[in-house]
Amino acid sequence: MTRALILLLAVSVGAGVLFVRGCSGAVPELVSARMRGTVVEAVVRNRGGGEGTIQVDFRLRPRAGGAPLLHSEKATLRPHETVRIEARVDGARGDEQVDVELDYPPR
Amino acid sequence: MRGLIKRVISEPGAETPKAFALRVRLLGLTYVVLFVACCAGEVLLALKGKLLVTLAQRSNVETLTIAFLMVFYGYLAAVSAPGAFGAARIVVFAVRRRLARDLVAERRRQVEVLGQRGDGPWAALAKAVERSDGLPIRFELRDDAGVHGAIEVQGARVSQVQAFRRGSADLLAYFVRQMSDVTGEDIPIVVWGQIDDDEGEKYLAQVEFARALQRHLQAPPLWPTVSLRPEQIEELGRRLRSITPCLTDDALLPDWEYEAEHKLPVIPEPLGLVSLGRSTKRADPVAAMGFATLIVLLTLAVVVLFVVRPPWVPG
Repeated sequence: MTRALILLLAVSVGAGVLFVRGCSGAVPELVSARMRGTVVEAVVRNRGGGEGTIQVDFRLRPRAGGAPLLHSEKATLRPHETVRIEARVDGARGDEQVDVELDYPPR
Repeated sequence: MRGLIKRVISEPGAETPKAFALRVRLLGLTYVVLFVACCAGEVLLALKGKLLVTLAQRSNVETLTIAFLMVFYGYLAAVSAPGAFGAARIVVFAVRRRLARDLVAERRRQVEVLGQRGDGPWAALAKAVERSDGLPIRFELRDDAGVHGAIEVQGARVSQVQAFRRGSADLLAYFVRQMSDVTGEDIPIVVWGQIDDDEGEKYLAQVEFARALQRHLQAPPLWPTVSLRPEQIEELGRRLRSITPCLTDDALLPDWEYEAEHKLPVIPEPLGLVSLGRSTKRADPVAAMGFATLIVLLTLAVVVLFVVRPPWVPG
């Protein structure tokens, strides 16, 4: 009985470890963000060993005040990969302050 | 298997005075861990609700599972809160005893704090028990700090009387186990009054009928009966005295009594063709709350894992 329970526990722990290794998603982290003319650019690093599609929400705040410009992109990250995500935002002046929000999984 | 179930689920701590004391400490610790884990679970679900709902929606898991977990944690937090409070008081009482100049006076004060006495739990035995000298069987639970009630045996009924805070069913389990040990006869508890009092009263009425018929016929015992000799009574009294100091701590912890049922659906519902099951009349709070704690910790670990390392979901 005790041996069976220990075996069950070992199998469960092993399956759990395999699941975490094989089925983990991305853990996105923002490295930098800036405006390049009307193009907004974000460098994102995947801290995790998993992969998955992330959602990138750009929020461009005009320095002179006023309502921010919103733009969303989706990108698929591979394990431990650093990528650059660019998007042309119509109506942007190029001097806005860039706020970036990363979501995994995308909402 | 029956012995293992008894030791782990229905009567843990009934074997020796040391095991009884260990059970009280383990129960206190279990209540604290359960309460803290449930509160942590509620906070985590509330703070990370958006992530968990998204995961549930994208992985085809019922979102209601999160609501179920919130209710589950909330219910167990409510159930374990008095136990966690009792465990905190046990620690405070132990510190006070350690610092006290007059230990006996301090212990008396602690017994007084327990408040009103009342009827404790009762159970029905498979065999009637009587003294060989015909006197009533009553064991007073007394030590230098005072009286912690008494255990009475009338036929097949064993009960704790004048108990603090509704008493402790595990005390009865300990007593019956020691009685089996001293007499060398197997005397199982077949009904627990706190769990199924109607069935217990019905059973005890049958036992009393058999004993009345025996007296009327002046025949040998009709119902299986165990006779306790004076030296066995003395030994039982000694074994009860050895756990009496633990009864103050035991009284501070709530005594949640449940039945236990273990089911293994080999071919699960909705087909439900084969299902293995086993039930136990009583699950000691150590087992019931211990398993609840394990499940809470397990689910909490999964939630924490999903927050720290979200699983892959289709984009």
